[in-house]
Amino acid sequence: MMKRTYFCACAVFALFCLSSSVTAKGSFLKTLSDAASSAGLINEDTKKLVNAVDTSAAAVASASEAITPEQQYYIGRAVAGTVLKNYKIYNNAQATAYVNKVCNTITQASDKPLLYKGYWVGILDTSEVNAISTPGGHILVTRGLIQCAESEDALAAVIAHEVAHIQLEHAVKAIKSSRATNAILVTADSASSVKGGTDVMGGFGDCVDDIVNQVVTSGYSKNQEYDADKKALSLMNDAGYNPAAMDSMLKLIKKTESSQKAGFCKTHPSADARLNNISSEKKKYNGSYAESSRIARFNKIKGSL
Amino acid sequence: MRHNIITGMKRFISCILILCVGIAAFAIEKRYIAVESTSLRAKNSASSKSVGQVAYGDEVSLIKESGKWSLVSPAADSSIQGWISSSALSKRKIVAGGKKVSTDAKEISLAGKGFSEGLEAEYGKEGNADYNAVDAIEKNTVTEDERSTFVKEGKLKECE
Repeated sequence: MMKRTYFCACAVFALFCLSSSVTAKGSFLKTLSDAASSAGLINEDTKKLVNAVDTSAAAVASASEAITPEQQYYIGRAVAGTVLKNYKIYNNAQATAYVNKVCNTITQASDKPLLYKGYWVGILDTSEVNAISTPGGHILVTRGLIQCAESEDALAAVIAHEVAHIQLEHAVKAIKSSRATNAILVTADSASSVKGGTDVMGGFGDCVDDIVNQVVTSGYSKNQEYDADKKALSLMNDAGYNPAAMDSMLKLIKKTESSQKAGFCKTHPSADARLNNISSEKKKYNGSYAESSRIARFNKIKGSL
Repeated sequence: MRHNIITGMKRFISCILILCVGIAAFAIEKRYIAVESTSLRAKNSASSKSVGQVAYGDEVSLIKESGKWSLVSPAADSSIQGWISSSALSKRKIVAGGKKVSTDAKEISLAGKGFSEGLEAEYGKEGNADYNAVDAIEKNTVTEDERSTFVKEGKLKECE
């Protein structure tokens, strides 16, 4: 009897090792119960019980962990499309190409140069000073923001801040409604306990609403904004932009705070609080950044607006 | 005495077998492509020449990692080896639309029922989003040559 149990245990472990290679980070409990069942160590009822417990655990896993790159892309398109219902794109090919080159320089030097489909920047035709991003890689900056910037490095600070929100997946964490999380889990097929009949279209709409509300109306949490600022300094440095330009951009935003009815001042912590947050972090970066090499091309673009 | 020796040998052989299976199972690490499509590069640089294409959900074997880059070989053609940004790889299995759906709790599947172009078409019909404007923004791509020239002219850092 002892011998049989011993060999069964060996078989369970061997089967687990084999199945691990097949399912990568597959469900431990399910794999183990399947193997134990195959070895005759547990009966079907026990196997069902173990799998039920495992499936319930998967069902409560947060949607932000289950969400796929493709889902983030399509949610991002809808978020951008919702914002673009209220703002027109600023048609200036030269300026659009320029801001996209700044963004591409930052993303390609980062740890995450590739998203599901890429990063893009569009300019919104408004004098408001603002920038937003979507989980799909869309960054929308306003004409007013570019006009407000003093240098390419200052503009890069804002774009790096938005790239940081994307790479830190802050927008996904804004998804709260149960219909939205159910739709993500069902369409990611990551929780078989979520029964059919889930309103996928309604859930998709809720995902978009949750993110638009956070990005455009209420803003991210202070901690998320501070984290994005700190990551932006690192992204700038890696690309060769001077992180100190974040200071000058925040000071400019501070000047506009009183006159703006919408934009950064409504959705971000105060410029003073953000300046204070990066004060020690920016001391890490004290290299040579050749900012003068970028003055002429920035002024040319600014003059075209 | 003889029985004890045989039992001991059986246990020893079992342990060796288990160890071999375990090592074999964990030696080859699988990864899945998490971006729509991208090139595998001859060297660990974005400007290096392409040696093959991979698409969302493709399975690859991880050969080695170096900084931000991983050397992989596609399961569909193991004769190819190429470098890819490690951030474009997922440890979770990804099943792209149209392929067989597994019920594995950790498997990612979009098999025609997910957030996709079909769903977007329906969402757009309701006038919720201006997808034409989004499509226009997604045309703002930058080629590797354009980026490289921009970096050199602005004395920025050439990426790895």
